[in-house]
Amino acid sequence: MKFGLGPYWLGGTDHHRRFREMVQQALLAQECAFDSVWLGEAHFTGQGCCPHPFVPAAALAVQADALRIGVLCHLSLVHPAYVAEDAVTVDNISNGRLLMALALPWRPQEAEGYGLDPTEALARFWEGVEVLRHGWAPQPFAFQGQHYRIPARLPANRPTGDAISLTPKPAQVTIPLWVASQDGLVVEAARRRMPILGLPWQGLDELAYLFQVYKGALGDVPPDHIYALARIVWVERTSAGARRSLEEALPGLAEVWQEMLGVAAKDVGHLREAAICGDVDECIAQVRRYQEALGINYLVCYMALPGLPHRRVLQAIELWGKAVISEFRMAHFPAQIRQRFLEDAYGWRRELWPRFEEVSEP
Amino acid sequence: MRLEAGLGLWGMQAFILHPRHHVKLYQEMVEEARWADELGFDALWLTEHHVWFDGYVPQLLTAVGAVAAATSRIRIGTSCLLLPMHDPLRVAEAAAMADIVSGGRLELGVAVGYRDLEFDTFGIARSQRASRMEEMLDILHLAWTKERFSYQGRHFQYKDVRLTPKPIQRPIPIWMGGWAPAVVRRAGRRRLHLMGARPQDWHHYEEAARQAGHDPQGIKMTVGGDVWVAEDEEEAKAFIRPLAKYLYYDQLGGWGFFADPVLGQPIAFDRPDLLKGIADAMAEGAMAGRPETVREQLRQRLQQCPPGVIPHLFMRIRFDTAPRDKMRRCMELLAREVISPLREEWESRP
Repeated sequence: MKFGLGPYWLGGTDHHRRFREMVQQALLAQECAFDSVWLGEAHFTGQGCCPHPFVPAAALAVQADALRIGVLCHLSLVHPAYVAEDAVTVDNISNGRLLMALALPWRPQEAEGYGLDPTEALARFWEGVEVLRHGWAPQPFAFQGQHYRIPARLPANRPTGDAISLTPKPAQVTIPLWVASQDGLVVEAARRRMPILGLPWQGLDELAYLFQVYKGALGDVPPDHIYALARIVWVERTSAGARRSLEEALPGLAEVWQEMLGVAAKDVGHLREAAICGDVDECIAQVRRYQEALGINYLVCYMALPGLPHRRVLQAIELWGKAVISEFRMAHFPAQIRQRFLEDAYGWRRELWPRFEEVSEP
Repeated sequence: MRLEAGLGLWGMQAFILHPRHHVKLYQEMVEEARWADELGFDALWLTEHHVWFDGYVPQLLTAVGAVAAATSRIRIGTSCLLLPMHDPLRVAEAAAMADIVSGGRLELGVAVGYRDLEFDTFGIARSQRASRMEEMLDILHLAWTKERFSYQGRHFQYKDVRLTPKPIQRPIPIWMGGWAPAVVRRAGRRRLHLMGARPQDWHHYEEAARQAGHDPQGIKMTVGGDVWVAEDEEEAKAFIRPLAKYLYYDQLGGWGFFADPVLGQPIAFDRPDLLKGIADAMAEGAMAGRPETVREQLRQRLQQCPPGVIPHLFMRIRFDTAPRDKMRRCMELLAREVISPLREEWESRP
């Protein structure tokens, strides 16, 4: 099982501070065995959620030298060649550590804001995927779709040849492309053998349906095929403490996501159901439940909960990294080791987070 | 007033003279940005092109994020973002994020661009570049300053858009790249800073600014050129000349950058004599030598700066080929023995 942190949408009042806190949380996650940190995209929100995740992703790639940098970005709002170029820029800055998950706009107003017909988003999305793949391939290409034509060969422009090559090329052999588990995307994602990422606000019933449809269309895949899921995650040493913290955060989170997604369904009760929360043992059991129900092998943990102070998020990240991730790193992890760790047999107080908090003040 | 000293141009080109992996080139950019930050330079400028064999940076604002993470003080500029090839909302959003990530250190230089292939890649007619530029500058301003905005243009239409988050700087400084009279006048109408314009172009700016009701005083203008400093005069000259010739003959020739002054036709490899003449003259203009030589050359250029204009020393020192130790040494000499005394002189003027 692999673990990511995020996706961060960086909404709030002091955006620079939110960014700085995200970097500190990511650096702690890097010290605590997380595999990736994710940045998300959303447009035109009152909270000022990040509309261009590649900029903070490039910054994070310089600050953190081992984590993979995940970008959960939209495809269909702009010409996909821009997205292809942004991605290769981050991939080269990060020495080939970029992961991408592609999503349709979260709500029709995002497409409308860009002056596009929201009903065209799906067609633009899959043409966009083609353009990304062609653009990153080593050989020159030409693409002719319903919405995009590259090179466009406009009569107004001087003739420029039949094919082009976007440059530079990715540092990786190619950039891994996942697809958000949005209804309407999962079947085609399966047909193309692209991994899906379950979204943090989707409930277990909805996910069970989407993963079933996805797997039904997937056919044979190798054992290292990724099945990813993002969840609200909160862990503390006591179950009651963890639940109190989650209750503090959920109203704010429901408000942000309702606005971002444009639906009222993501209320506090729904999000409570969709969260992984508790003490270490409870969280491990809940992760196992998702493993069994959906077959996931990559969990992206949404832990920067609104309203909870940076210091407490750092504590939760550290506890998750030390006590929960260890459980899933190997089969037959001896429970006694975890127990002795939780009982402070090795010096529980030697926490990592304070040295990250010191530099978090902008 | 402080004499601003900026360094350019980071394009992350795997030059044919010294091709190497882009991971390496971006690592060098980050390291050099740290050096520039420590050495007290005021700005570091990145440059954009698309679909060129050497892998030129295609999306500058994303690369700005990387420089921002490596630095704490220096301002980070685009020289230039080829605005008409982009989507205005995406640029507004990316620039806002770059400004936020950098803590308000973005300088946005924009230019129209000229290569047909680049426009054609994005499905845009090169002939629309000026009208797109005008509309996009309007849209950037609206997006950053208005809570919500609508726009009805020839190329772009928006209805009740709320761009968030807003940049830290109100406003992000915008520089207009180029020296054609129409470009300089466009900058004057909008009171933008000038990137690459020459002293003799300034009257276009003044006229346009006054016609638009602006005071042209206090505008920044780049002053400078290609620069290389070393302890040995001849070594410095020998270092920069082939690089400048490569830049001006091969690269800009390959792009048809220069235009025939009479017919306006691009000068490319099909007119090698004309191209060579221009490239040689440009390369000869490089400021290279010992610190005192370069200081004197920069001083002369500063003196040509029109009165009332704030000069921004723009020194192109990054050629994507220099050995690391020479690059570091050049930056140190430039900071300590060229800029520092020049700044003292400049700031103590009567």
